[in-house]
Amino acid sequence: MIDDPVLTRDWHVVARASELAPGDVRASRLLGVDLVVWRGDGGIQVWDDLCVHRGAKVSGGKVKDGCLQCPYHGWTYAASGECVRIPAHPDQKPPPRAHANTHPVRIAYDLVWTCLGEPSGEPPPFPEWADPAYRSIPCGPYAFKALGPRVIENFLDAGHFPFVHAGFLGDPAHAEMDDYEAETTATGVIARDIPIWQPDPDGTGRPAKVLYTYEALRPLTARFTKAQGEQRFSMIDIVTPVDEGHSLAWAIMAMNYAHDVPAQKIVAFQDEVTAQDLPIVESQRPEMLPLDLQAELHLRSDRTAIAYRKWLRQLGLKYGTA
Amino acid sequence: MAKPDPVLIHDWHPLARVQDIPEGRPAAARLLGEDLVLWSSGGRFHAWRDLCVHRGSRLSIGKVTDGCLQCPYHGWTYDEAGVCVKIPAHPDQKPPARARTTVYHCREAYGWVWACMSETPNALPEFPEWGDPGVRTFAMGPYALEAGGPRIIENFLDLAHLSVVHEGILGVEGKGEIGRYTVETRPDGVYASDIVVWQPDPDGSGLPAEAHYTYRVIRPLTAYLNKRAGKSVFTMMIVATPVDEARSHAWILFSMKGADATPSQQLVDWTDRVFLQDKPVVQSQRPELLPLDLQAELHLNCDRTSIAYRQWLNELGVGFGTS
Repeated sequence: MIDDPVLTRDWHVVARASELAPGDVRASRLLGVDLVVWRGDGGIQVWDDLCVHRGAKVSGGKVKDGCLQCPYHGWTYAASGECVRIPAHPDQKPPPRAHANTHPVRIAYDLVWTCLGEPSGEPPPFPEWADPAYRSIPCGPYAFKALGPRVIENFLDAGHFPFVHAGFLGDPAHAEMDDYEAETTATGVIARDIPIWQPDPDGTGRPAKVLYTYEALRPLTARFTKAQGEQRFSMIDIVTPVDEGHSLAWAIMAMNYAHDVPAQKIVAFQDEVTAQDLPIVESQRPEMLPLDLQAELHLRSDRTAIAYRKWLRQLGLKYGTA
Repeated sequence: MAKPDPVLIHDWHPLARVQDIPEGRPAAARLLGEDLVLWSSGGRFHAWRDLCVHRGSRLSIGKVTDGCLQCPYHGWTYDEAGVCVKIPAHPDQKPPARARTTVYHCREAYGWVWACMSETPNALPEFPEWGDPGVRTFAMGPYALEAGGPRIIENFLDLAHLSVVHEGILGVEGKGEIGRYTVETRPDGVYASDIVVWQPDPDGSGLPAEAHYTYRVIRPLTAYLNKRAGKSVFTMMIVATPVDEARSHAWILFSMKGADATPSQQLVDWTDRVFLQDKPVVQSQRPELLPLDLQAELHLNCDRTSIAYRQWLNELGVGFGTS
């Protein structure tokens, strides 16, 4: 297990709740730990993916009568994690040590969250989800061969739009960045109202300057709201630290306009934008985000990244940083 | 990144074929454990560290505009000297002095793009037959090998494997005995001469002959062979580019004088076939790093070239690909 003092106490996404029907069993991985995510008759459980008997992965097993059965010798675990049946000895009460290592579960925004240590709070807020003025559209998860801090910093970066997302989110002929401020608050980092020139910000085909407000809510969770008049487009990006080389980015978009545009079309656009980011982020060296600000070069337009790196250092994040 | 080798950084290493670095299309390469970007503009070739100092992204996935290389991430634009001349987010600001990339020596020769990571490069290896109208010359490679450079060069210098690995071409089974030959280490490298081997097909012509070999190793990863068989003179230069300690690209130049009846394609196929016979054997060698301690492996009389080679590498202080 990757023993990061901050991330082990954070909530991380391991599955999408609506994709887990009763009886479904999935394997997941978080901070180098293999997990099983499954749904019995009641709620969703997240455990270490290991049968204490012979170490087999229980994610290869099946759900039976609301219990999870190991594929190897049929040891059967109740939703509480307690082994309630050992088929080779049907009359013997399973020993107390025959117990799955269970983790706490939260369901928020149709995502299944878990925490490997003592949770330090709750999953980050995304108020648009419950706001009837907004339509929420999930996308991802996007698999990166890169570490979370590099993925989040890219999400917080507007300066790359004209090059990486030319024609989508920016234009090389309008690459100049206006000044903006970024500040570190008690809950994270916020950079308000960054003016960004976009070729077609609202789908009408007309270029305009929009205002981006970025926030880092947790070390591996960030969001932005893009404002144009009364129109708001928000997106939250939640990065699961899978292990030392892999991340999974779960995202939700929320819009208070264009409710007639099919969700599929909006997701396809986001898929394409992420596919443009992927090779760049995966190419970044060092893989670990340097928190020493002397290690890379920072300009005025990098204020969000500077604040983010300083905040990570302040929090004491170890994973994915150098 | 592995530590740069104090000896090999002064040498020239081929990294790509000229046709693989067309104007306007940068490519990634790797040398001595470091990622490089290769690109060309106006007929000039450039080899730089493959990293934009701003956010560490690879320049090799960027593009060439107006004779400059542009980072794919935020469009930082580097001129041919590796100096950042434009930061699109701040078009009116002069880029800071630190906004530059590490530039290495780079040039074209024999149809290949070569780079040297030192400020004071050694001379580029010569292949005098190149451009001589009286001989046919050929460039082969790169051959990618999961092996360290010194193992590849030592195999090139090795006689005792000819009748085994190249049975029917460079030797005959049961006639593998290697007679006495001369080996000397001079200030400019290792020489082996007076080598006589009976070969079924010494030069691709298909005609058996007594072959007379002379070897010359001029740099740790650059060696030559001169082979006279019948009326033909065959010369070869091999250069092993050290990608990582146990990964290399082998590059070969060879020339043929005489054997005029043998079509060029046949010569190329012959060389290719011989090299591909060596490849699996060399890749199988353990340890991957050539042991310079002569006690570590067994050496016989026939191995005197490799003994001299290992001693010479040790004297030079080559660390990369050796142990």
